Amino acid sequence: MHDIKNLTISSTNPCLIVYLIDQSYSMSEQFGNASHNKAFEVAEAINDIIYEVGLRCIGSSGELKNRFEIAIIGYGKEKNSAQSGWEGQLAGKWVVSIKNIFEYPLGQQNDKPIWIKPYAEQNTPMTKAFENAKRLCNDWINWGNHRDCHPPIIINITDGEATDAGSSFDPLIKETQQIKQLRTNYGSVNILNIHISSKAGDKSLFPNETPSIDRFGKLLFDISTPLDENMIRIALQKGYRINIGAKGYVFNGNASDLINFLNIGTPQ
Amino acid sequence: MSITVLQLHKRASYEYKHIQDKYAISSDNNVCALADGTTQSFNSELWAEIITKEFVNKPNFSPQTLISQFKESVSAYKNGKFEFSKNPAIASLERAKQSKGGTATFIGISIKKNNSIEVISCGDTNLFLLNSQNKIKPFPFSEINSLDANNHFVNTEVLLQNGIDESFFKNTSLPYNQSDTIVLATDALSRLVLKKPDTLKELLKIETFENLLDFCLDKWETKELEEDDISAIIITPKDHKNIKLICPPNEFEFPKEKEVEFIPASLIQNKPTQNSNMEMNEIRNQFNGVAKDMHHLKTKIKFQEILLMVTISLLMINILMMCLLSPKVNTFISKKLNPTVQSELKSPNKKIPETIPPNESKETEKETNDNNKK
Repeated sequence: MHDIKNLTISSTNPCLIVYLIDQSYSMSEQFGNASHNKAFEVAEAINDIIYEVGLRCIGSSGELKNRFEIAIIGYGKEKNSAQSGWEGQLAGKWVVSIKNIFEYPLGQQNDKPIWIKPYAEQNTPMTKAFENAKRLCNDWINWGNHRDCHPPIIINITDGEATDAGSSFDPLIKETQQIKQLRTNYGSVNILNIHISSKAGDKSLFPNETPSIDRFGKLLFDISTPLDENMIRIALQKGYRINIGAKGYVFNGNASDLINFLNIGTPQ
Repeated sequence: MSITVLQLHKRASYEYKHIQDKYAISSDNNVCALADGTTQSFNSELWAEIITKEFVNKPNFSPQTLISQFKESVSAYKNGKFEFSKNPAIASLERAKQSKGGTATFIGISIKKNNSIEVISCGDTNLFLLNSQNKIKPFPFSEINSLDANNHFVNTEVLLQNGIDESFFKNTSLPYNQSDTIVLATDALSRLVLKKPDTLKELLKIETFENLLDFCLDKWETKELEEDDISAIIITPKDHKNIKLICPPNEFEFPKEKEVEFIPASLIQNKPTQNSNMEMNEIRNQFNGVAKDMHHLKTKIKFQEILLMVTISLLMINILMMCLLSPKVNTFISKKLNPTVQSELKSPNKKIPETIPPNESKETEKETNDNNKK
């Protein structure tokens, strides 16, 4: 296996980021003390982070380099269904290069392009979303020169329990275990989770040990992979006090934690 | 003192004109500067060019004075022309980048006659002093970790906000011998030299652009060297005054990557299983519609085939009838014409007389007489 320190993410060696977005009905609940709901906050954060990724990819000649490929998988917009979350001209596509993403935004808001809208509709088929993410990562790794690329990063944003994982969550655990076995020459696929629970409880940011939240919070902590050196460095730069071995898991974070988390999960 | 400049742009930039490393040399004053414009900042190559030229024109090794000098140069950067993209989403990115200003690393040196080198630097562009015993003295970074940990750059907006102070710069005076070689290198190359000091010897052997290209391609392939702009200034004090530039020729460019869209096969294959009943009904209806149209089309084609067959048959009969019923010239001649005409016809050179066969003339005469009698 190669040392990830020697890897530069480039248009010849791009990185895949898969966002899993909970679009279930419970996302219509208010986000913390904000006047808007969780779905709105998540959509804004995803739009912002895509824009940030664009800033990292634009060359001096104004040309966007395809350093990142992004997948958005929404789950819960339709009952028991996990689908591509892209809309407009990108609807139905699973993975879109950053260049194409900026060719086809849905529109502009405050002089910034946007790509996704908030949804809070049905149940929470999270296992299905992870299953799709597994297939997608497997196909991506085995395509072209992707084995020589940064391992894909899956970032799951949810507010509640999976409705398709039974009481033991075994199917969901099995899917995530299979995902963790997928690897490029630079390491295995990363799974990061942001848990925006509406239940009262202390904030838990990048913990090293199982947080004493609910059993689903514990599950999300367990399925999360530890932050790599690069992520730890960025987290420290952003002012988080974290230790080596900290897991890519956030519970009850506020809006800036959400965007910081997405930023930390996006390789530099 | 001879100076050799080596430059190769990163493959992702395709053409040399997009290189963001800039240098400036004043051979009269023995001063040179190298700056690496960062990819993620706005128009950084312009900023890198401005600060290197500024330094060479007014070499200054006091951080405070140099900061003021660079701060004054920001206006030249801001007045630089830039055409924004016609794509509003990309133009928005460009404006966001513009608001954060241009960023570059910087290193400037002056080679003094008293066998000392004055150096001032900000960022991860490094100096290597190689002596005749092949010992390397690097400055400011002597190992990779400290180079990687560097967080100091010269940024236009930070300069204007007085956010850059003396701590951003490192300066020193290094003694050198005439037999020494001085190398300034941008970060990717510096990282490689710090990791593999022998690389410096390879670098010094480069004499042509082809050598440089082979060197970089080889190191990029083995992943020893980062995919980045590569720049080095090699100074040999003992040699005669000479400046040599080894860089890509005008016609050289790296090939553009083929843009092939990745389509996850397993998710596409599974798509039908994810269709709802309503979608399935719609697909079924559409399929039935297509089948109906196909049936109509088949009937029409069959009718047209029959029509075509009838037409061809009629045509064939017509041709056959024409062949069977058309008069044969030789028989007509032999039956109808008298021997004289026949012989005339057989010998076409003779002129045919205007005669009427005797039997026919008699019949004609008879007919005329009958008519007259009536």
